[in-house]
Amino acid sequence: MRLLFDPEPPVVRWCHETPSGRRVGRAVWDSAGRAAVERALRAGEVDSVVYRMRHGGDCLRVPVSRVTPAVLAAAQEAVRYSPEYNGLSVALLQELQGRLPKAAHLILCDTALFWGLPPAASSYAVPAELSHRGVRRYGGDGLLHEWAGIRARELFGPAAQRVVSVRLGDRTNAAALADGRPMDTTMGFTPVEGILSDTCCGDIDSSVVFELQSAGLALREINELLSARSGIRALVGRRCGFAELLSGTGAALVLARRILRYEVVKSVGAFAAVLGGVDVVVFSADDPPASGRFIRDICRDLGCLGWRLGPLCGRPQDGAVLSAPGSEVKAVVLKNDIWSVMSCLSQAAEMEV
Amino acid sequence: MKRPEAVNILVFNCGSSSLTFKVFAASSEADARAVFAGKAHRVGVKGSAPSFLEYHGGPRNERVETPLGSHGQAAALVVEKLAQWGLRVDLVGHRWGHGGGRFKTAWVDDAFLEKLRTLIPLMPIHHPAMFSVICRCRKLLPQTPQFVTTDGSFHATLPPHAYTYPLPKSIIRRFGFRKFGFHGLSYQYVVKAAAEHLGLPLEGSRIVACHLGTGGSSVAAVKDGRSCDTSMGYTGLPGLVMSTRSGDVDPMLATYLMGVYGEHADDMVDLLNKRSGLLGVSDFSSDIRDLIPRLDHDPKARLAFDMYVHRLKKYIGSYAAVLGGLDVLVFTDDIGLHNWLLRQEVCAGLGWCGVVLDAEANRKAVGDTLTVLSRPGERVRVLAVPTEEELVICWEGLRLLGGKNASPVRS
Repeated sequence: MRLLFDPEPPVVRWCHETPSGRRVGRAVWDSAGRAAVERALRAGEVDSVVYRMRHGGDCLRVPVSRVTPAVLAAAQEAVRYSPEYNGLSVALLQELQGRLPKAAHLILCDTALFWGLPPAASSYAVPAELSHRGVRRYGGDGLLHEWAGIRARELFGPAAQRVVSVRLGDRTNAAALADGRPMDTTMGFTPVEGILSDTCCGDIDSSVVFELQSAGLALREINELLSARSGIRALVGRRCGFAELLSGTGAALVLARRILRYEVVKSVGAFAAVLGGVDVVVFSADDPPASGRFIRDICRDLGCLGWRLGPLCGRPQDGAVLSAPGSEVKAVVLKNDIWSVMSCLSQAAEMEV
Repeated sequence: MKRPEAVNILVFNCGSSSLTFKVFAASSEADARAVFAGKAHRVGVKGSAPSFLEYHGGPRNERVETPLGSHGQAAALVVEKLAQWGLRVDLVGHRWGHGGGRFKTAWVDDAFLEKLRTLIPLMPIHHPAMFSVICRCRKLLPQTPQFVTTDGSFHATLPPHAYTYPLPKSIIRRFGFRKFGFHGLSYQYVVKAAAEHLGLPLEGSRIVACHLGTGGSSVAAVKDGRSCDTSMGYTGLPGLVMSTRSGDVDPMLATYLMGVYGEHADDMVDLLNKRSGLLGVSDFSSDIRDLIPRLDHDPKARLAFDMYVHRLKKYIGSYAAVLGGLDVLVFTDDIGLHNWLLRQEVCAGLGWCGVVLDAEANRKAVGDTLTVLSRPGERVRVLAVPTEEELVICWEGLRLLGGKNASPVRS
């Protein structure tokens, strides 16, 4: 049995996997939460426990690592990059290690994939000495993008060399992969950079920050403004989830949807240039059927990739291929499910051990 | 209809440390020709090399070393020279950097001058010099009508999904944040010149133009002859890796460095605008021409060059995507025209959107004339097009004269 943890403070989400299936749970990490996990543990012997960490900073540099004292120390050091998320991951890890000393404990890290970015993609054009202050592009959602690359190869074989992986959702972002290796990402030093999200502004002129500051806004207010009060929320004028964004009407919502679609098209075009052409574009969405039309619109905009699109697939399921049979460039839709992602990546690592 | 008489238009184009000037004799866009042209160099620059003024046309070509403490002083010298030779000036046109989205081309009267004064903070490096040249010309040539043309106005056609920054509406209303874009005069010229040279109707055309200067650089996506996106933003900071500007960075980087390391806001502005880009990465030079000979043995120079190429490539790819394909790729301004290696590196790997260079033509292009760099028969035509910002300012002056606002206010 495998136990997977994805903390979302103050809540912990978990999934225990047995050959017969998956059972998921979620709870605030307090005594009731611990009791719930304890009940899950009674279902059978646990072979491995897997923890997701959002931001490994410069401490966790490989996507999947088996926990050793050195790895634990690195994870603890990485807590400063994302105190809430990482802090909870490390707390879980320490508790469960004590409780299950015989199981294999694995850390899956979202930024680690992008530690391997080529320097031209990972660096900012700022004075070199700033790299000592940790200034570089860390990217995000690396676990999902790595999994998308693996799925693309499963679906299309070795022809799927140059892959652009687009995650659609509240935190839309994209990555470019060549033979599974990272070549670029839209997210940067923080997840704020890149494509706008539900509450983040995405790429804007940094001069905006300076003007806000000289108008008297405190840094804390600016941080909050750019990361929590901007993006789709600012365009629509209230919080708006991805499902509503896809289907809603009204001028503000339509503009927000248009901007998101435009930003995705720009990112895929940019990554096609980075990769020297594209073999597969993978779109991962939480709810593929509901996202079908939006993805289809993006694919139509991206005609310059040279693909031929297949007959309209109104409500695509996981694995639906949108490109026509025989089209050299492929488009495929995947269901973004964090348990599948974590399970797939830890399975590969467990086999290596 | 009576053919309009030819007018002499004196055009000033302020750079941060230079002042380009040209006199055009023109009765229409088509017959405008420069009868006098020159440039003041190292204006307001303290250093070992002296300031100088060079010009050609008029009675002779000359290069005069003379102290040029300010742009206003350089402009006064030009006006004085023209008066000495009896070259009549009917109209004076000025490039203005940032109109705050409020005008494209306009006559400068007293009221308008005050409006311009309020726009100075939008470009604190460039605007004071431009403003001083306008004031000096009004003093020296009080009877001669003057107009300004904004550099960014070519981008006034950007659609909302390209220019909107997704920030709270109250903030947008208060500050007016949006993408404006720059180098518009240059884009207006090279797009027209490229289409004319190729016999390509602008309607239906998809052009990506790269204005790669020794200071600032940007890219524009142009559909049907109209700008639909560009890499610079509210200011000239974002976009490409430039000589000393960082181009795109995570907006949280500035707040991080200020919050965690206590950097002062002014220092951060200075850091991203004057100490970053090629200079910051290479730790050696802001000029890509200095970096190229070092690519094989200096890893920092190599990284700076690779980053420049990487970023530019991404913009071309993303604009090809939003245009739904590409017909023409244009390179212009000093670096775009004179650097074959850079063009070669940028175009490598753009084959998927139809860009294939003629290696030999690219290497041999001299840069001072319009040159086709792609192989004959390729889907995308790649061109080097020398830009002519001053000519576009002259066109704008002619348009003002002929248009509804045909009676300029004289001070």
